[in-house]
Amino acid sequence: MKASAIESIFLTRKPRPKEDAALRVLVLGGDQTGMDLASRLAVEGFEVLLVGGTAVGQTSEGVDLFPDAVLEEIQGFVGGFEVILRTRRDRLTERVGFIVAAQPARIVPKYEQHSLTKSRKVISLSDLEAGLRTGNALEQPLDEWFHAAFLYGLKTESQPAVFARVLDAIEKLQGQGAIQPYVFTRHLKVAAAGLERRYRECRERGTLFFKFDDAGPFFDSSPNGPVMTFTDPLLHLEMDLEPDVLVVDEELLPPTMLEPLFKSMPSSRFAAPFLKPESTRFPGVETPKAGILAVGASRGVFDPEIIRGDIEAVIVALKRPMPEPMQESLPGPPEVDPGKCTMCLTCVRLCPHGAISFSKHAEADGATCTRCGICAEECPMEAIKLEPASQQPEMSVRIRNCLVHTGAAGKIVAFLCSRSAAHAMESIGRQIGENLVPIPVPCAGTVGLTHILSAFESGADGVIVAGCFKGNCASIYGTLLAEDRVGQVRGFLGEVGIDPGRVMFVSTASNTPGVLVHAVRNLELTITRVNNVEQCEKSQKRGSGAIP
Amino acid sequence: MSRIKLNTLDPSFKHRVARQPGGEAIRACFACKACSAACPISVVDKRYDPRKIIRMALLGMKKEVLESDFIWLCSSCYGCHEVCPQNVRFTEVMFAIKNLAVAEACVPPGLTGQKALLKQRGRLYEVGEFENEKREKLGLPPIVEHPEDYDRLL
Repeated sequence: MKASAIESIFLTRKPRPKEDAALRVLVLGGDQTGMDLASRLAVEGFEVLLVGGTAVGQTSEGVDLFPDAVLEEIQGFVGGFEVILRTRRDRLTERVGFIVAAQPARIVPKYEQHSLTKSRKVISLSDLEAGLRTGNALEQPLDEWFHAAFLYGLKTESQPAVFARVLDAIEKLQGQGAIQPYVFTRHLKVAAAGLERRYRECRERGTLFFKFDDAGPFFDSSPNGPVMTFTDPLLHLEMDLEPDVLVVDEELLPPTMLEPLFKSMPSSRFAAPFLKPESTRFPGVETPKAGILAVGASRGVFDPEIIRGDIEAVIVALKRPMPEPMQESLPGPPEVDPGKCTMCLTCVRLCPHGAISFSKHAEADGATCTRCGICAEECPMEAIKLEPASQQPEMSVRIRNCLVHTGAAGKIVAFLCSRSAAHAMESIGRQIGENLVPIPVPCAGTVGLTHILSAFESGADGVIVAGCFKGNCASIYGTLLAEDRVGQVRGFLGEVGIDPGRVMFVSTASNTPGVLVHAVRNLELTITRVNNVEQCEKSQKRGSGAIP
Repeated sequence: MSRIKLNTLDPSFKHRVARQPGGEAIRACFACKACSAACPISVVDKRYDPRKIIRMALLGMKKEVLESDFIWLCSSCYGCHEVCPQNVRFTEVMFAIKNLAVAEACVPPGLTGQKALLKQRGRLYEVGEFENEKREKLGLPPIVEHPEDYDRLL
């Protein structure tokens, strides 16, 4: 008995198909991170295709190098992507199971921000680092102090990963003799492991920090190089400095080579220029599309320590069995009626997870689809059904049934997102009143105009659509769609003389049932008020002559 | 004060202060102003602001610090010492700075006068008839000065 229980846990998870593509991984790299990830994956038994990278001799076994290749196109789904790589000589088509974007950050010096131009004494942080590596960073006058000025986060927000590099450079410089470093800053961010300690140590070794809350230093130039003038924020005294080197800080930006990946995920424009939205629904390296993973800069992470963690997260994600057919509470994968589908591709363009492909008609990939149902709701031909008609009746029929069974008078229909509001409702229990008819839906974005209107048609007094908080929707824009449709229904109701206040949208989460309770109470109050007003109007009309 | 040229200041000054006994922690200051808030001297003389003195020393304004008269205003009450979150021990930093000032021959005239007085009388003030009459009333023996010994003792 026990053994079978254990077995069943594993057997319910579909094992990864043993076909060749599932164990092949395309890594989009370009620096050490890509190399590290590729060799880590090779050790774990994956066959790795590494696009971009450094010297050929450094790769480990099991890694195919394509140093100058560019990813051009992605087709297919997790476990069987078809990717087209363009190299200098030809175009290659490869089959891979997973794609990992691990390109390095784009590094842009902030010269323009300070209206500075690169010169012998005005250099970027990368320039200084290169100089320190080769050992000719400074032409130092031995008998005098060397003044090195660093700009960091002066005009715009700064990134701790850049500050770590500034501290590295200062530490190396200070090892070279009589050097006085100055750091000119405003947004001094130290939110990374060990950075605050290093900042303190740097100060204690003699680096001077000027943390401005005014316009900061002005830059001028003299025949000898740049001149900085500023007011010391502590002494409130006018000062100037002619630095022997002025190091301009840099901005770390997401890589630019993500376009083919964006194209394979229609929801990516909500996350661009990053590959994934900042949402708890997509933890770590996961993106909205199954099989595509984002490491480091492509997901907006620049801290080397976190990037090292990302590499391990990729290994974990790839060794996990293939995505499951979802929980039982959710319907099966969407079915497209080939007779109805006109290939308008609305579903392809709108599927937040990029799960729909098309050949003769649209078709959803079972492993990529999360059963949110947005495609079914948006299909203008009603060709997509999330739930086969044999198992469950149509939503509008369900609504009618619910209301007829319980008696519609005074009822509020609540469409509840199964990921948030439905859980919230469970925790409220019956406290919220008997007049509520809860109808769980896979995603608030699947609640269409007809659903809301048919609730009113069946005699409901009010409708509430409860979805996730914006930015926390597992279908990226399900909440936005729901809110938009509620707005539209309000317009319709106003036109036909029903108070628009009878329908409302509310954002909630599983752990914020109070928000839902509050919204329901508000709606009840509105309904009572509107009912009273309508009754008064009616009685006035009816008895205008009779009442003295 | 006119415009200060950082290039002409002395970056080694802060390290020199830090090498003095008591001055070690001067570079840990993060300018929170707790010392200035706790300082009773700051209340009566705005020129004496511990935070600003530290900043000037860190910037290397050696001349401005050592030749100033305000560094001698410290009453050594240890109020700043108590409140400092960075353990700068500012009272002792002041001793270090004053020692440096004396070493660099920037002694203020008042101090030279006090030194002379100490040599002459063994005290910073003169003991006269008024004091001895009071002592007599309280049953204390009068103070007899031995100027010849003080110089030898000092």
